[in-house]
Amino acid sequence: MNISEVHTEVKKFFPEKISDVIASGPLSFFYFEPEIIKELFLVLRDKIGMEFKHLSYIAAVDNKECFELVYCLYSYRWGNVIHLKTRLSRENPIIKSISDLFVAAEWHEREAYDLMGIIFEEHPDLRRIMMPDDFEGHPLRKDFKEKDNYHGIPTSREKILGKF
Amino acid sequence: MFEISSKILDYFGISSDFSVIVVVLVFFVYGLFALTFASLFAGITSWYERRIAGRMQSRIGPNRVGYQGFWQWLADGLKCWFKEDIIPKDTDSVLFRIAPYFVFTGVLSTFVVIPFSPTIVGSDMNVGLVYIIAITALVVAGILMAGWASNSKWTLLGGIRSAAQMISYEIPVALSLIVVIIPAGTLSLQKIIQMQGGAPYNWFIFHNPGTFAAFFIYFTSALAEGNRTPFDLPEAESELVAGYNTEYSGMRFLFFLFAEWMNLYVIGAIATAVFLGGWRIPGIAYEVQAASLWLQFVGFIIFLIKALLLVNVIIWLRWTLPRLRIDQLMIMCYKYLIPLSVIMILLSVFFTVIYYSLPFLSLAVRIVLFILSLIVAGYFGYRVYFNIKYFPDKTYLRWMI
Amino acid sequence: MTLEERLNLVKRENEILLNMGPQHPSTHGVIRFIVRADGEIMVEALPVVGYLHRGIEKLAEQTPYTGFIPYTDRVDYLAAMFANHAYVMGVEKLLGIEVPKRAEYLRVIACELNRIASHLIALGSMAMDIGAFTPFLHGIRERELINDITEMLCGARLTYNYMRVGGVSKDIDDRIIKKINDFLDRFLPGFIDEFNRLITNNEILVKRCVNIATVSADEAINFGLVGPNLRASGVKWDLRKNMPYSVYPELKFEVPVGEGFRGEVGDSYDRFVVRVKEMEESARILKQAVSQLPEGEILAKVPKRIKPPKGEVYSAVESARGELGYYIISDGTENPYRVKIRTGSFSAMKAIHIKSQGCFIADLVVLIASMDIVAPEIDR
Repeated sequence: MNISEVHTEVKKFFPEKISDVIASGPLSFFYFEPEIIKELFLVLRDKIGMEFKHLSYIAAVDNKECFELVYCLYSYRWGNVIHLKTRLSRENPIIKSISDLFVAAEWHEREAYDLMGIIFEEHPDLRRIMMPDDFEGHPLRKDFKEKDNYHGIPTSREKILGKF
Repeated sequence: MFEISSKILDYFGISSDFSVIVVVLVFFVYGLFALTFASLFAGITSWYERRIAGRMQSRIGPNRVGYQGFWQWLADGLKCWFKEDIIPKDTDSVLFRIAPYFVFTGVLSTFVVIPFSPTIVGSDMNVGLVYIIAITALVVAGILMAGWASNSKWTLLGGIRSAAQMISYEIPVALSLIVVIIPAGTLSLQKIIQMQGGAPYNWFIFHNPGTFAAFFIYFTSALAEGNRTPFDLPEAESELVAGYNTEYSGMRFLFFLFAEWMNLYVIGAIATAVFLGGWRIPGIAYEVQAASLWLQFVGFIIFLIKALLLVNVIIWLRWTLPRLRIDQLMIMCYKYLIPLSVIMILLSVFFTVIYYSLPFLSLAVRIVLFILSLIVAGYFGYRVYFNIKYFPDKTYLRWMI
Repeated sequence: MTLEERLNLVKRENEILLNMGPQHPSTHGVIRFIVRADGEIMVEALPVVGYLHRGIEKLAEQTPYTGFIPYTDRVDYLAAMFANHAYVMGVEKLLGIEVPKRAEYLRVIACELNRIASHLIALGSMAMDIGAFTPFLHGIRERELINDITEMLCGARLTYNYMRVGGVSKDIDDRIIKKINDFLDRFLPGFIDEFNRLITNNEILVKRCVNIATVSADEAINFGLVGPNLRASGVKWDLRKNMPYSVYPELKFEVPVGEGFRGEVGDSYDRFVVRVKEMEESARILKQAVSQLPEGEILAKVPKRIKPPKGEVYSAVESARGELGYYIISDGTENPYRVKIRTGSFSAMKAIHIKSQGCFIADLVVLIASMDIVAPEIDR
């Protein structure tokens, strides 16, 4: 079942909340509204014929106007892979966690929270994962500015070459 | 040593007023000899083990210091000697300092009863075996002290593991030695050796099936008691960093290693004395050997060769086998080794009684067991030949690299 | 929530809190576990990652497409070839370039050599964590020969930087082919048999690994496990077979899966044996690839300044640690807009956290080693 078949199948459940299939370069995907995430992924995971039981990764993308979350799902039974996207506002990037459906999602969501600052509701353990606990800011955002120092340690280096 | 002191007293005609001084002096000299022997053995074995390990692992091993790297052990010892003796903050510093000496003394004290030849022995106690089992308990105390006093969770876990393991494995060690005590009828190591013949089929290991099995039970449990692979859980470097000696450095750390390598000789020597005929020379009666200085020296060499062969086996095992888990270790001790050794005691009693009425059976059993072990040794040799032949890389089979 | 708050949240009486790592002999790099143990039995081993976080994904946004290839080596230093391969495949898909046949074969040869090297380390270090030192050094001995080959092939022993967009950087010659054949002759019957005699069939190793941290097929899929870890649970999924890329369809090989060799399906021992079998299959692939190697170019015609059109791509390869994927967004400039790297070790760490509950401290070591964790892959 490729992406267009999945799309028609899912469209029956959520006719309003799902965009058309978009091809961007070699990759095809469709957008969904963030509020239906749990129902959508439940359908995708458990509906006979789809059975996308393996969440490969969640990528958070800073699109300048908004944040995008990319979900990649595998179906080992039918041997295919799909990509789904959703948009979140920059001011209030909140979405429901799907870590109760996919255990793998837990850490990917933590990573998205840490590096992009997206907040996942109902997440069991939403902490920073890569950065230290006291780090300020979310480094993968396009408007991220590195602080001058971290606990008194300067983050930039004196330019030696210019001196001579 | 009392015999030698009295001989010296007689020879020089020293009056009884000064005899105490002479006896103390003789014992002091012997103690020095034992300490030197043990230390040299520990040092040289550390080099030897690393060379063997290198061969087994397709690498060279230490070969820089002196001929074939022989003086490596001395270099390492010197290095540790000059290192700073770090005592971490917040440790129980008295216990921390004292623990290595407990371990060292515990192992070294066994040299009091371990014989070298018919007359050269610290003290031929009539409770020799019991003394060995009792005195090695000092090692447990030392390791537990080291683990506790270091004030680190890893050392504590290592210390507790090691205490559990060593105390448990003292039981099968003692029981498997009892199997031999029954036919021997004595606890003195010298008397046990004296009762065995020089030829292999006269050894206690082939006395009856019970003693035959007891040898392997003893060997396994002694490995576990000495914390050697596959039972080196207390210092399992992949789990507990380095176990009870994590926080030690310099000479104190070296004392633990000293004890470990000395313990190799102790394991080998006890097995040799109790099961493998000790210093007996085939075809020469005990009285003749005891009277001649040269034959005593030959006996010493024979004893050493037998013990070293066993040490070799221990080293092989260490570099071949993985390590057990703590629960598997305890299961092996309490569910298998202890019941097995109790059965072997019964078997030994049975055979000892039967041999009184049927003396020819004794010889038959001995010869059958001897042939059986020859077959096992032959199979082992065949496997070694097979493995060497099978793998094309012959670089590491050269005599010296 | 900080780490401290997380620990206080679940704290119980009579527990010791062991800090395993970042410097610990058996945590394969700088991984840290906070072990809550009740005696020898663990309540939980909480992974704390991030000690090797270098922000490769952020670096990608400031680097040209070709300039990012050396960075991909550092994603997984034990199997750098796969990271190279997945990334250049993604860029080629974006550009729509056809790679010459010879280059594809060279890529397969390099990757399979790298897979053997990586598995040798994985198996050896697992044996070492269980206490057997010798198999590790035997593995290193064989890996040294592979390193010699890759050194002749691309000039580097660990971080190769071998692949280029549109092909590979250097051609193979007869000397290297002879060396590969020599290695394969020695490896396939000889070394594997010796290794199996020495450690795979060793009763103590079997006892230590059997029925430890069993991951069932459903769990493995849900945890997001990939590669040998997934196949050990009995799921026959290999990107080389199921979503073929490069020239794998032209090569014959089996996909070994866990069958419960000595215990349950998906235990640590299955993960060990599956890796041994995978090495055999890799050697078989290598034999075919070397004999079938076609003549021709090794680099397609690629513009000097790579400027892919706007678009997105996800390209994944079957690395030694499972699916290694690059999700690349191009906005039409010389630098990628966003690169997301999907690695196998990241999800395996989560699986370790779940599976560690209730086993012995000694088993945690087996579990970490059997999942074949590599620290830079987790943190990136």
